[in-house]
Parts: sequence; C-alpha cells; structure tokens
Amino acid sequence: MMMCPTQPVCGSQGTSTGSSVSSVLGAVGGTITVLGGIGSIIGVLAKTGVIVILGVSAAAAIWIGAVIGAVLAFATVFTFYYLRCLSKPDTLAACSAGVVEQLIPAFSSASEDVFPFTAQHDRVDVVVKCIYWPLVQINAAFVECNSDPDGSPILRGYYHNAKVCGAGLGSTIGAGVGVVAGILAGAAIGAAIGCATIILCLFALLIALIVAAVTVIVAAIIGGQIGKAAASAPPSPVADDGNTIHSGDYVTTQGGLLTSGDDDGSRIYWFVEHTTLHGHSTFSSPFDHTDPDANLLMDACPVRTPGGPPR
Amino acid sequence: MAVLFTVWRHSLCAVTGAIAGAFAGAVFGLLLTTAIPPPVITAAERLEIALILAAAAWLILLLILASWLHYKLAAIWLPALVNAVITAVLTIFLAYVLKAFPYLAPIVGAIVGTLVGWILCRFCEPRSLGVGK
Repeated sequence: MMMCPTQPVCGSQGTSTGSSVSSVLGAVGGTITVLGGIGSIIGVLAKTGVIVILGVSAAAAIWIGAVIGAVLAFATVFTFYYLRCLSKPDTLAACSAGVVEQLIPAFSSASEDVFPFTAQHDRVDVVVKCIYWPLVQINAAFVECNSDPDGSPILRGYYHNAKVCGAGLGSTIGAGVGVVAGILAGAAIGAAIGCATIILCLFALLIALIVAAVTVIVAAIIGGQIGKAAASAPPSPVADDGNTIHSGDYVTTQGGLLTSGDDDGSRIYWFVEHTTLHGHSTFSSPFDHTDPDANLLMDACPVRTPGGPPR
Repeated sequence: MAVLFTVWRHSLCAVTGAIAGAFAGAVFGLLLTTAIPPPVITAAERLEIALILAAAAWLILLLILASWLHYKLAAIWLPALVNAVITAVLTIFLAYVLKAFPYLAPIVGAIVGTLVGWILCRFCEPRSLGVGK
C-alpha cells in the first residue's frame, strides 16, 4: 500500500504568480503607455500640422494614432513569439509519473488556426501518482484537478512543437512587413473622416489606430500560416520510443517545472524533455490517482525527485 | 513603470485595467493635441468620449483575453466591461484636468486602470477564470 502525502486543495492556493499571461498583457499595457506618451509629445511638437507621406495627407495626430496601432499590434505578435519560443525561464528539474487524462495538441482550437501566433505547444494532462503531489503544490498559485470523485491533482506538461515556433516567426515577419502598410492605410482612412467636430476627430483617431492594427494582424496571420506550413512536427506528442501518447497511457515525464499564468498559476512542465510509456490503463476517463498508484508501481523516475519525498 | 509592471505581474485585473486606461489616455491625449490650445470639451462630451473609448478598450480586451489567451468569455466579459468603463471615465476626467500636458494622459490612464483593476480584483479572487481550458 502506497503512503500518500496530504492531498492538495484543488483550485486557488491564495498566492499570486509571476506569469506569462501577465507578460503578454503587461507588454500590451506598457507599449500603449509609452507609445501614447511619445505620440502626444510629437503631437504637441507638430502643432496640429498636416503631414504628407507617400501621397497620404493627414493631420499629425492621425498619423501618430496609426503608428500607435501598428506598433502595438506588432509588439503583441512578437510578445507571443518571444514567450512561446525565445524566452528561457528558470525551471526546476523534475520527474513524475501517472496516467494521461487528455492531450491538447497545438492548433486544436479555431482561434489558434485563425491567429497562428497565439498557438500554444502540445499539452498533456497527467493525473499523477500521489507521491508526486508535492510537485503539483509547491510554488503553485493554483492546483488543477481532474473531474473524478477524488478530484485527483493533474500536472500539465507542454511538448515543444516546431510548428508553433514556425508560426510565431512567420507571424512576426509578416507583422513587420504589415507595419508600413498599416500606418498608411490607417492614416488615409482616418484623414478621410477628418476632425470637423471633437467626436468625429475621436472616431478618426480610433479608426486610424484600429485599421493600422488590423492590417498588421492580417499580415501576421498570413505570415504565420506560411511559417506553420514550412515547419515540420508530429501531429501529436510522442514518447522517447517514438510511439504517440494517448489518453489512458501510463507515463513517466521528465523536464523543467515552472509556475505558469497561462494555466491559472499551476505548476507545469515547460517543457517535457523525456517521456517513458509504461502501458495502458484498463480504466476509463476521468482517471483517479489510485489507478497509477496501484498499477504503475515501477515508474522511470530516479529514487528521489526534486521537491518530492524520498521513495 | 517598474512598479506598475510588478503589480501587473501579480494581478490580471490590474493589468487589464491598465490596458484600458492607457488606451483611453493615449487616444484622449492625441485628441487634445489636435488644437492649440487644447480644445474645450464639455462634461457631457467627456462622458461620451469616455464611454466610446471604454467600448473600444473592452473589445480589445475581449480579443486578447478570450480569443488569444483562451480565457472563458462568459467569465470575463462583465468584469472587463466594468473595469473598462470605470477606468475610462476616471482617466478622461483626470486627463482633462491635466490637459496642458497631454503626454501624461496614457500614464494617468495606466495608473488609474491599475488601481481600479486591483480594487475590483478584491471582489473576484480566488475564483478561476478558466484559462487554458
């Protein structure tokens, strides 16, 4: 009989988290603040003058609004790419084992197909053996649990997917190309609305900003689809032996753990580096931790796992 | 800015409020530069401008949070709307007081939004918004 530690409380742990969600949103907020401030300074210096660029004539404020929209959209696209593929966050080397509850492949949602730069890497949710509960709980702002009667804790693992990074790079290049076109289009349409009244002027600024941003996003979508198509990756995560991972598989996963705002502040593998398959459960989803506790006695983890109890 | 970034990293509501505020402040700041001296805007017009900017900021927040970051729309649309409206109204009226310095409007908006969002967050925690589902 396996001795289990105290089961973590599901949901919020009452602590906050440094998170990649906040990084995306923080980048947007910071970019708007800085660009808006700089834009207004330039607007004051331009003294309400009309500027003509490449045949497009518009008030300085309209041009600045279009620049803010285009640069903001580019910064947002690049931030996604940076967080998904370029950043190297600190992680804790760890190993755990359990039964796979579900797989969420990259590009499995409509929004990730439409906006490829937002795609997340392949995700595998594992109901872990109870001896690995400390890995789920320590430094977590949130504990994800399964829908089984026991509310068994889940440890999510992300598998690096080259198509996600291909799409991110393609989107960033596309967005960069779209910036100039976006600024020209936004300024032209904003100028057409004009500043006859204060409310019309507000709409001119808003439309200039939005048209520029949408143009950049459309260019990012086109670039992202090209980048996604150019990259190659298996359709779903595979174990070290080359076999595809399925729901119900007993697995041992090894990789780096961190606290992720993209996952409510749960502890996750970013990324799973090694996966060992140990066969398939005879039970059906939703899986309970007692299943791997009883049927996966010998997993592939070392005798002692960082952050966990001695075995 | 460093203080704001620190708060934003620890509060989703604060950073969404800051985006709404910075957006409203940036557009309003530009609006103030369209005339010298800055145009006289009545209180009713300021309220109208604030609500238009709140609506635009709300749509931007919904696009980013629900579509791109996979938060559940049902869980966020109302908090984001309340956050955006309160933040935009306060930002526009405060920025108008400081209309001689339009370049401060986005910063005023970011600070106001951070405070409004942080306070509103007290009413939401510790509920999960269903991210990543």
